[in-house]
Amino acid sequence: MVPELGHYCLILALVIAGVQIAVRHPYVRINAAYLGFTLVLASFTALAYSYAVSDFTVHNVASNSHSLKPLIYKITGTWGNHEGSMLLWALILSLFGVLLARHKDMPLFFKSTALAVQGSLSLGFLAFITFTSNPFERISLPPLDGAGLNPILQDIGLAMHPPLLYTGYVGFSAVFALAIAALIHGKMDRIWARCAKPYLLLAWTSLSAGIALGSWWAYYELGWGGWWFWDPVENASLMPWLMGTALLHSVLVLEKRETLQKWVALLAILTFSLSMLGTFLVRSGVLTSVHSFASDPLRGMVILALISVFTGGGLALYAARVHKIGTDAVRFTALSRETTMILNNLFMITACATVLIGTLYPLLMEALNLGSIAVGPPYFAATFIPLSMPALILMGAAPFIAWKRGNLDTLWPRLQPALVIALIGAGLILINSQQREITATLILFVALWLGASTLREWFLATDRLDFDRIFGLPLSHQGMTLSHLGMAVAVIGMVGSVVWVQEDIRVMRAGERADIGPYTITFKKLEKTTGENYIADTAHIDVSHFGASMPVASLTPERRYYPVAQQTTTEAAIRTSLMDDIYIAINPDEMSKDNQSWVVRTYIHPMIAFLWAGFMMIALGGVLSLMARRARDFVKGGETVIEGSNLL
Amino acid sequence: MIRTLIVMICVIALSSAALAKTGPNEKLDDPALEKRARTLYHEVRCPVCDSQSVADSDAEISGAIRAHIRTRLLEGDSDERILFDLRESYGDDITMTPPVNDATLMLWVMPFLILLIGGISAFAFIQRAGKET
Repeated sequence: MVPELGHYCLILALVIAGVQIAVRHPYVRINAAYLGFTLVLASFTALAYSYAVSDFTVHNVASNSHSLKPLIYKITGTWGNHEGSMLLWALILSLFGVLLARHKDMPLFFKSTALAVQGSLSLGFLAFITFTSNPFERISLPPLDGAGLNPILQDIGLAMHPPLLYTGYVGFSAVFALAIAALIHGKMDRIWARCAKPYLLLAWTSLSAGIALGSWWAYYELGWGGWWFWDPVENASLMPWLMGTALLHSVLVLEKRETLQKWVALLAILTFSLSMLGTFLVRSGVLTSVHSFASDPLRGMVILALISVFTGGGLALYAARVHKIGTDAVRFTALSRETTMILNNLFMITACATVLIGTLYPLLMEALNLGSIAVGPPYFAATFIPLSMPALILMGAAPFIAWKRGNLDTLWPRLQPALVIALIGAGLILINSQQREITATLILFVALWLGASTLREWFLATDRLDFDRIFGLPLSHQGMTLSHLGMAVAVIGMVGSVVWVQEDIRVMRAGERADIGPYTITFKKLEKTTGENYIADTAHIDVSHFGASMPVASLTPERRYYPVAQQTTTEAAIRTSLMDDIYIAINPDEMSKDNQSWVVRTYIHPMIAFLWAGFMMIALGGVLSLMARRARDFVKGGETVIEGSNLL
Repeated sequence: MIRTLIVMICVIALSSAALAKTGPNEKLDDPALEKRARTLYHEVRCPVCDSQSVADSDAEISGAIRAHIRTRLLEGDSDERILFDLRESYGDDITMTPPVNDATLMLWVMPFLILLIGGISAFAFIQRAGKET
């Protein structure tokens, strides 16, 4: 009964989305947005309920869930599969429809058009779900138990990853809808920027957090201590993030200076297109093999058709109407905030294009029978890193440079301290590093420069840490500082964990010890343990500083066996400190005669805590900027303020 | 040559019981060779897993390829030669770095082209905005 209700609501939502487009009355569209969201939410709840109660008469639940899963993972399993995740996509899409419908400072005719665009997106994706990916399909002969119990996926980090990622992807749909409305009405000004900014910030923040969470999960769960693999699935989320970052900064320029309209409109269309492309890449199976995609192409083809319609339609409209929105009347000198923003856009878009090319090129070659190649980390290291360095350098300087017309004479003394700090830091690193890693030192120099200049700017903006100014500084400014600082901190973590990683693999027995880098590890004992749905070999390994006898940590890496899934997983144990992570995983020693010896794999990742802290700061900066709007709207009673924010 | 290579790798793959990732017994005595071996492990892609190098892969074939790399290094072959032969037998997608040839030219050139075109456009825009001020 419940699945049928869910299915019914889904079809009804599809109809309502049609109404939202067809009826040109603004209030009908607003109410359709509310109703559509309610229906999709009901549908989603019905599916989640079927998962929670393990209703194996539903095909989707039977193939992706299992009665022995903990309840929380039963529920999060709702979006752990194709159909459910697409329903989550549609749910978030209609949620942004509601947010648009509730938006106060937006002219009604404009809102009406944006809602029609949002409705057409809903129509497309709901039709996709209804006709190719129905999650409510029943089985006439239900199995005794479900088939889905992949233990690697039973993890809270991974469970929260899709909702965050999708809020990011789909949040860009609202900006897309607003850009299309702007093209239709031939108007894109600073009020438009103020309307678009909250959606953009929300999407960007969620996407940042989602990517970070996915990366963190890979680090602690996959069992070999890496955190980014330039895997197409990861690239699929990085591309909209890069373009969204460029868009965010361009919208800030638009808000402040009412220029870059054409560029903003183009980026808004392309960012959402990349979000859809990301969904296509992950959901169509095209990544596994172009040929396996070609053998069961229906779903992929429909998503591809949706991308073509929305991207193609958007770009066609753009070509026809772009002259209506751009003025190009605004003047600024070569040394100005505008210039830094434009240049940073250039680097970010080129970096994004590089990731796109690297991701799609092998697929293209395979499709055209030009042979198969792999585009792996070396390609991205050779292209992406050089492109992001100038962007990071500019990022450090930009907040000091005034709008319209910067002043070189006052700029130089403001930049100097950060430059000196970065130079000293880089010098110390070079002296202390054994291998004289030039590239790593250069990147760290850039990161130190960015961090120091960001702090310096904050120091000056708060009147040299004046107490009242620290709390009086607009939240948007605080958000920028935190995000930029987070980027610097994250880059330090990236370099440290990649360049100075130490890896050790050895066979150990209970009682043995080994010296690894700055640590000594002692394999105390191994015991059999049991968990909720698994049995495990748990090693007890003490970690102490080299030469010291007192252990600083006692780690318990596990080798787990899930009998129902018949799957074995490696649970690494990690000891995190500010300086480094010590990461230990164990595997049975195949050569062992008595089963008493274990392969102990130890990684020391210097400064990787910086990476996670940096990611967190980047996302929190976005949260602060979002709160800034709310706080100001509250203070001003929601009235339209034209002077723009102080985010920059 | 190529056929022998494939046969050799197959024999190793079949004879060795489940080699997991880069194992503890896979160390070369010469530290310089060991360092080269590790770099090569990371450059060679595991043929049966998605975007994993043989260094990080549990697959048997990856263990066999690692063993092959060590053997070749001990025989005094150059890194380029080893990678070349691996490409010959497994195809170009065995290495993480895509080769530079006619088919991949655009892959390598496009990022610079985009930066160049974008840079010129940005320069023109900034120039235009700077007029009459």
